[in-house]
Amino acid sequence: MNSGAALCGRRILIVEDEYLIACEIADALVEAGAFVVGPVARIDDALKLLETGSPLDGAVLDIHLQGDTSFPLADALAAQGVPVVFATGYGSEGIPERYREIRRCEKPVDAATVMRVLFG
Amino acid sequence: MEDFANEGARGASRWPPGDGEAARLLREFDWNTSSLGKCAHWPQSLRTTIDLVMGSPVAMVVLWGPDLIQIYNDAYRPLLAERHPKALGQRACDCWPESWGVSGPIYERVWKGGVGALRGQRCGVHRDGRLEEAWFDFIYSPLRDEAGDVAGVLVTAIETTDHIRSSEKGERALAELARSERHLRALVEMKTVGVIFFDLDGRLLETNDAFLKMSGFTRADVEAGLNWRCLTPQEWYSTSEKALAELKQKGLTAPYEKQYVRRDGTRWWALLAAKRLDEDICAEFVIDVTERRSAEQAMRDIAERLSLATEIGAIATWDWDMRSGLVTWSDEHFRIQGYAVGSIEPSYAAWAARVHPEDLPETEAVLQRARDSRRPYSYEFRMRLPDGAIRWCTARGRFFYDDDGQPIRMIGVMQDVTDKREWIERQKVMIGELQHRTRNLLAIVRSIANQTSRAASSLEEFRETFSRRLSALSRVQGLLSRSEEEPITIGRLVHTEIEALTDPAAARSIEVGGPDVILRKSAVQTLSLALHELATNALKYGPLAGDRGTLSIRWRVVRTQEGEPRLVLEWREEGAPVRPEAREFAGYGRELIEQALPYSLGARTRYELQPDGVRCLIDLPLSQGRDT
Repeated sequence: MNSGAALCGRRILIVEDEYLIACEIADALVEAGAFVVGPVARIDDALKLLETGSPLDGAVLDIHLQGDTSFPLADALAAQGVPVVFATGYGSEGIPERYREIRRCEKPVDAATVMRVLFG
Repeated sequence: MEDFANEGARGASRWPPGDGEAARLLREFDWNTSSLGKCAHWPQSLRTTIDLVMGSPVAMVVLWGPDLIQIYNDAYRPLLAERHPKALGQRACDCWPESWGVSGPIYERVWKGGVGALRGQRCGVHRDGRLEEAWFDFIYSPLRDEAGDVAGVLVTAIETTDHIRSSEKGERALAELARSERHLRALVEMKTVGVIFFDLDGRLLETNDAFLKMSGFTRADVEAGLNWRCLTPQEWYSTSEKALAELKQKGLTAPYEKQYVRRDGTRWWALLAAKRLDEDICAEFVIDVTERRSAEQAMRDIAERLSLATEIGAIATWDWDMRSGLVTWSDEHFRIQGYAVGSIEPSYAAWAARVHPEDLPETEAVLQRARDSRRPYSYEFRMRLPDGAIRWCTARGRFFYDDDGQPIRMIGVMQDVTDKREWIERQKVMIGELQHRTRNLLAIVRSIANQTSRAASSLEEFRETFSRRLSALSRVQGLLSRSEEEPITIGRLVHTEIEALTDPAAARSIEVGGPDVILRKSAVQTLSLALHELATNALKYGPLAGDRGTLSIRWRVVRTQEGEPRLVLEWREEGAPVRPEAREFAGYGRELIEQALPYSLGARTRYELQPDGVRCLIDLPLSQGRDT
């Protein structure tokens, strides 16, 4: 995968409540040389990681998480200067105006897209 | 007799006798100044004539001698008017110069022994100090002297004023009568107004042609005897009876309308007014108003249809007279704006008061732009009702302008589209949800494909396992798509998987039981995939592969110390040794149970592979998180 160089050694947080999808994204990123943080299914867990863990290089967020949205998490990441990509099945209509700037990649997610969106 | 004797005796000294003014003036007149000379020397014939004249109540004048010297009685005096008293002893030609052309020739004829008459002469007469108009017949007859020669003319004036007056009046009355008869006839002959005459029993006596034409009956029908009942449809009898009663009581009817039936049975509408002319006869004017009635009916039909359509369609209408500011609203307009129908006076202000304050400025701007650009007005805005409820309304309208281009009127319709808006919003959410689910599903399919291909030893095995897992995924999608109407219970999920995989013989060895518990939608997919893997393994390699083993799937609801409900499901295989492959193939199912359920759903799980089968415990929170 040609994204290897860009992702190599980068710490990428994955927030996705569907186990199988989380595994898929994680596998793809690991394969591309990234260091996966998580994956976690809940925002609370993600925020905890943010407070206690090492600094992140990027994050892949599912927008809808068990009835919550990941927008507060996106705010927190943006505050730390961490680039974010939304992995979502939704079109842009479901996204509030101020998050439209954040780039999306549609599911199913592949590592190359994530790399391009985050660091391209 | 004595009196006459006395009179006669006195007459000798005082001639002519009598107390009348004429007699007195004659006595006092100085006759020497006239051609007649002293009256004492007048011939007897003249004196006799004067006696006769003075005593007569009929107006007379004696014209004596060739000069026609005038001597008249009191009755004649009014005819002289202002000529009296100068006329006494005056020559006729001096007294009446203006009419001498007419009377002169008559005197000449009488002088020759003939008679003359002028009848119906109009004269001005002095009566009670006033000049009046009066009519007279004048009779001219000769007076002769002792020798038998004509020596004067006697003029007798017989007043005919009363006669003339009364005959004049009669003529005038007759003329008047003829005239009004002419008018009446013209009226009766009018082609557009029917006139009928009838008695108080309602029997037709006479009609004009117009009525015959309207009613389709013939004059022969009328003559044969036509009752109002023949002309009236039964349901209108009471109206006609009321009119007849009114005629009997008051002598006339107020104008009224009713239906008639023609000779051919068709109906027509008439406007009627009747008057009783005398004891038995009434006249009635009849105007055919069928066309007007049907036009009115058509208008009523249109209005009713329109009002029905707007009512059924819940369409509010308004009509704004911009010059007077007067606004009319349909009932629905009141309702949409949250006013009780008729509770307020419709106005622009009343409309604006209920438009959502955030939408009002733009709504008014759109309205003004439409007015100024002469384009139709069309806008969708919110209404805020006093109870805080929000209603979406769509309005369309049009302005009308006068010759100077000033807007004078606006009419329009408005509809409550709240439901539609909500529906569209719901649709958007549903489409988003569908998109989300499809994308997730694709991701899951890819994940399953990857997992399956990693574990498969041959393409054949991959194909079989992958297709089986896809079927399980497809079954749970089916359940999810119906979950709004049919919430998914754990029992349903378990049964669906068992039924899909086992044959009837194997199904007998399976025991399923537990309360009806509705699952969170987010829990369904992973849980069903896990159950699918467990069931497949049990059937292929576990106790269900033979015919001695049993499977028991039981569940219950427990509450944590915090009162949170959890579903505890126990999967228990017993009674037959598992095949060695079981361990190998349990991988995916085990991962789902041990990894996926805790990760995604916060479940606590235990998975044990005993020699005689699998024991599995799934402890799942029922209310954690909110489902999307």
